[in-house]
Amino acid sequence: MKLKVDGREVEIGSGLSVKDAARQAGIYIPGLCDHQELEPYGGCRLCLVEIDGIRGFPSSCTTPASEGMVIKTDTPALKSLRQSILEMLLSEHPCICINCERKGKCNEVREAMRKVPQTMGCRYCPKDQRCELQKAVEAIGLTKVDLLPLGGSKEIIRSPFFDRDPNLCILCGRCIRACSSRSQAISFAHRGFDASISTAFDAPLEESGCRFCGACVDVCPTGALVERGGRWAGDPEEIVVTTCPYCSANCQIDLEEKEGKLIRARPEGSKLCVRGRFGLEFVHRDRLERPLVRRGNRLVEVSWEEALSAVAGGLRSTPGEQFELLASGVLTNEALYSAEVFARNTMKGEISVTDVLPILDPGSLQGPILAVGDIAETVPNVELRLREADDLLVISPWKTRLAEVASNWLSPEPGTEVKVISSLTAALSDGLVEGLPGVSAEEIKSASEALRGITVILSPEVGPNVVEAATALAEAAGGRMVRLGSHCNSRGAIRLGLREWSDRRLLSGDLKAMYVIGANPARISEKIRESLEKLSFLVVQDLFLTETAKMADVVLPAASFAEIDGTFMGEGGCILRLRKALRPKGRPDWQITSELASRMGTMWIELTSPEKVLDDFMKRSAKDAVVQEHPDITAQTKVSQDKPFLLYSCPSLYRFGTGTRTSKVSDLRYLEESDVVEMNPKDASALGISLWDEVSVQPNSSVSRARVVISRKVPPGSLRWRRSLRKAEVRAAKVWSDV
Amino acid sequence: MINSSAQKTDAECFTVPQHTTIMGITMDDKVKDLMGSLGRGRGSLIPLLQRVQSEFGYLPRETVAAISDALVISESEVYGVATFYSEFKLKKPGEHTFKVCMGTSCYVSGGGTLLSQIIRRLGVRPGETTSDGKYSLDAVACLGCCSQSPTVVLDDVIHGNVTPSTLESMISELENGSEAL
Repeated sequence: MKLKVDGREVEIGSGLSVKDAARQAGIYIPGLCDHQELEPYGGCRLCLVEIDGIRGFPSSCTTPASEGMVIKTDTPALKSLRQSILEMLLSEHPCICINCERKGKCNEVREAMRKVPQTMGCRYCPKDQRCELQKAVEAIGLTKVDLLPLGGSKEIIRSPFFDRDPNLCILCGRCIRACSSRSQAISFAHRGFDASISTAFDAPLEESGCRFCGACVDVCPTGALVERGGRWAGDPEEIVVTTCPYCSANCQIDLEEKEGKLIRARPEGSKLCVRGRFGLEFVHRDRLERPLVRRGNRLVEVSWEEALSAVAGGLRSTPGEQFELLASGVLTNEALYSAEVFARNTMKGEISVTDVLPILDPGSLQGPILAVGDIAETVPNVELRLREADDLLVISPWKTRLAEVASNWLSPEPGTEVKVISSLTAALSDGLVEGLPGVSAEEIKSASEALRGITVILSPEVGPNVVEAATALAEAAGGRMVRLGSHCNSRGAIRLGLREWSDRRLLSGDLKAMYVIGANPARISEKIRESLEKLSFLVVQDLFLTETAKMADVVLPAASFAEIDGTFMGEGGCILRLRKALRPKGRPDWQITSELASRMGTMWIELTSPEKVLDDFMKRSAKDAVVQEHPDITAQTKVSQDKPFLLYSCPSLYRFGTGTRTSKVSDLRYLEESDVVEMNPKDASALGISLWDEVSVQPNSSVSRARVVISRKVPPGSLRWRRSLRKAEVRAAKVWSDV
Repeated sequence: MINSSAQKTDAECFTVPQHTTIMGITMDDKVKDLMGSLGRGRGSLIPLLQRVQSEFGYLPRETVAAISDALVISESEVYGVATFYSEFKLKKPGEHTFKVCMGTSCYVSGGGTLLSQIIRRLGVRPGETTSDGKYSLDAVACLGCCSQSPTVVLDDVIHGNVTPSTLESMISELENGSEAL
């Protein structure tokens, strides 16, 4: 359609607002509540315009553009309206810098001014120069605020990863709208001058269902919500687009770098979860920078030359069948390929990878969908996509986030998900319908009627029986099954035909030497730790001095994801890039193993650059990956007062894999500080237990303590158990058995 | 490390532990009961809040979670609506509630004096309850009884043409009455 904005003719598509039309015409209309990723709101009243034939001053963000409109965005009346609205807005926002005749000249003393604990004006604000309010003031031409200043004495609300300064908040509601499609933790509360953005009962965010995705921080126009890391860093020197090094959703991230430090990570055309948004500070924490070699009981820093010859010397005499290389599923294609070449060709040994799953990709999510498992905790971004699905069936004993929004939720008794899936298959193929505990025959029948062409999506943590049942169901319904991978490069590992690691050979003592890259098996169990200790030669290549590395004979410092150029295998086999943003602390993984291979004299492929490695990698044909056995996650147990409960361990958003990297991020560690059991309110009141009470959990012979979170997500009689990171460390340090 | 205790100031006012039962019935059941034929969603929120408040005299903290669960509205939004309208109380009111009209007519005929008299006499500020849980005080907007201004509502009974001395006798009657009990 055609319309006129300030005399300029514009042609735009349908479904756009007047503000969009002006934007296309290259005309800026100020606005503070509107945001490209959120629904229009019309709250700030700064984007008012005049439209011929429409009475008054409609807000351009909420008014749909229509054919032949004549819009004026800059008239004296609009200017004066905007100025007085902005003035009122600023009467509740620190604005001394607007009136200041020496503004802009105070940069020389800025460092000292930033030691002031409270933001008094722009130059004291972490958002200085990035603030949208500043831009609006400039665009509207406001030079002074005559109204009496109000407020400025509210307490700053501290939470993990970011702070909220209510004194800087202009109540635009962007954060609430950003949160509404995710955690719904915040809302407007109170009224008038007391109005604020708050959680229910002003409880801390961590008790209000917040998942710390940072979407609120990303949309905040002022300094009210600012991430604590890099708070005062200002604008980045460089922004590098790379791929998130955690789960298999492979979100794209903008890494913001300044003075050699990672100051912020922001979403790049996608939504991020807490791991990608705030969980990357591990690249600056406790990093190894120089190789270590064992001398007696100590690990001593040595040169690369010395360390590599120590590895070559130690491994040269090891027969291939007594050697295994264990690589992490978060390594790049290049690192995996080079490690594979080293393990299979140089060492004539075996290579395996942590958590390889035969992934199938969600692809386009159309038609009916069945989701099984707690995807919100394992692959959060896929969960966000599933929330938007129209026809979603969830089978879960827990009221997961997806179950809350699903069009149909079957809630069988914990541990009987397989039976439900099988009865759906039976109902579909033979027309046999029978009820199960928690799910009636009618529910099965009506659910099975909507299953044709279904996409079954399985979270990585589901057991092999569920996989089998789901495969049968997908087949019977003429649909497909999608199994989500757990690690960011699980797909690359599958493409190379690598197997999932099994601790069998290590525990039986068949191995003499092991080479561990980026994995931390010592954290998994005490038995594994003891077996690792018995190895005659252990090489660990990692970012940190992990529990496994502490036992190693040689430790080689690797470069982190932010310090290398490399690739992951993304959805549908596409290549996703990692780009170098920081100066490497160690060496890229692929370089270390290929250097070792050539040192040990059996290099048959020249691996000189990441491009060359990738090229070779792509030439390799994929082998069929093998479905691996997963340990059964359920175990019957007891809680205090001898009331028996069914105890289920569950995945956690705040911990990834063995938690080596996530434990380096202080606020993620804080969120995982204690073991937590989720308990239904009915059970809690029957036992007289309230929030954060400590209980004993006895899964087998050993007893451990956990704090109670009361949650409607779990049905009565069951508990969900989230183990903390610290406990894992304790376990590895042999204290576990004494508890 | 994060110090979350500072943020709990408001929450600490609510002495009832989360998810208690009243006479053996959980709040979820009670709220479902009160919901009756109300459907899910935002439209039912205010009617349900009113029903819960008339049942308990206020909105006990655990009912907010139960309402959020029953209507599929986030807890923060329920809290937001409950704090927006002064009609809803999140703290347990006293045994007796004074509402002093601050509408124009009552105010000019001495409502402000009556309000400060109660504040002085009972040691309670508008919107608060005495520490012994006996008296609550609210300053309200027009009650629609301007012809009898100034007006004071004591426990849902409207008293018109109130003077400082009639107010004093109302208060002492309450005090003596509670002593007699």
